[in-house]
Amino acid sequence: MLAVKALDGGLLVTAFALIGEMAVPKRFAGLFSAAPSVALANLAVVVVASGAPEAQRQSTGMIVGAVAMVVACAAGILLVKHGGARRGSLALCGLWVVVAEAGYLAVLR
Amino acid sequence: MSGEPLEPQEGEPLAGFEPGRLKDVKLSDMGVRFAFGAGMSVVAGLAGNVFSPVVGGMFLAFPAILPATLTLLEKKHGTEAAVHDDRGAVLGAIGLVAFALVAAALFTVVAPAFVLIAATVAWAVAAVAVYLAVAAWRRENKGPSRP
Repeated sequence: MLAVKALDGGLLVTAFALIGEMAVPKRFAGLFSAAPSVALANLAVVVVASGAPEAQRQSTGMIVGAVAMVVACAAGILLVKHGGARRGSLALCGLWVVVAEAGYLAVLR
Repeated sequence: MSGEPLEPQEGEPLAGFEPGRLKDVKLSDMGVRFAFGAGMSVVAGLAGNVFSPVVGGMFLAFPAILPATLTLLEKKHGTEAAVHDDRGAVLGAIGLVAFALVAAALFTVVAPAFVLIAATVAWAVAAVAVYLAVAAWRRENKGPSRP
């Protein structure tokens, strides 16, 4: 199942990236950097392998992850501007882990 | 660095698609994105197996694609282009919240295929609506660019 998730996750990320490459201006293209490609790939496999209730539980967790992504990307504007793309985006990912963990402890546990 | 627009220009549409730009896409860049997407899908799947479905679900919204996208953008078009892409990602992430809310509400209610379509539509509608609202507001007020 992991191999199927990897294959369709990679394909969907590539598909959304190609749509983003066509989009103008850059800020509009940025929408596709936060497309639900990995979510679609995983949830489709989960539904087939484990059923809708399991997919529903994963979607509940995704709400917290998505809120963390809004916070991390918003902070990322300053992080990328001052630290450059590589360091800024890695710091952004680290911030996502902190916010998502806090959200998990506060809401989901 | 390229002179392509970073945000909507006066007299130009707020958003659009130029299929001709695909000819400039490097196969290696798409390969990097494929690898990140595949890797993140495996990480989310493992997190679901090792911890719980809820924890695995959180990783469905991990911004793993951004480091690859922003680094490639900075290399090709400069840091300011990467910053503008990240501003767009904030709006796309708001769409991800809508995706997750719709999926969590509907998965045990209606057919899963319909849920995936409805959640994707929710992502697109929410992300584009917020983008258009911000772009229209920016055009009216002409202040410094912000998401």
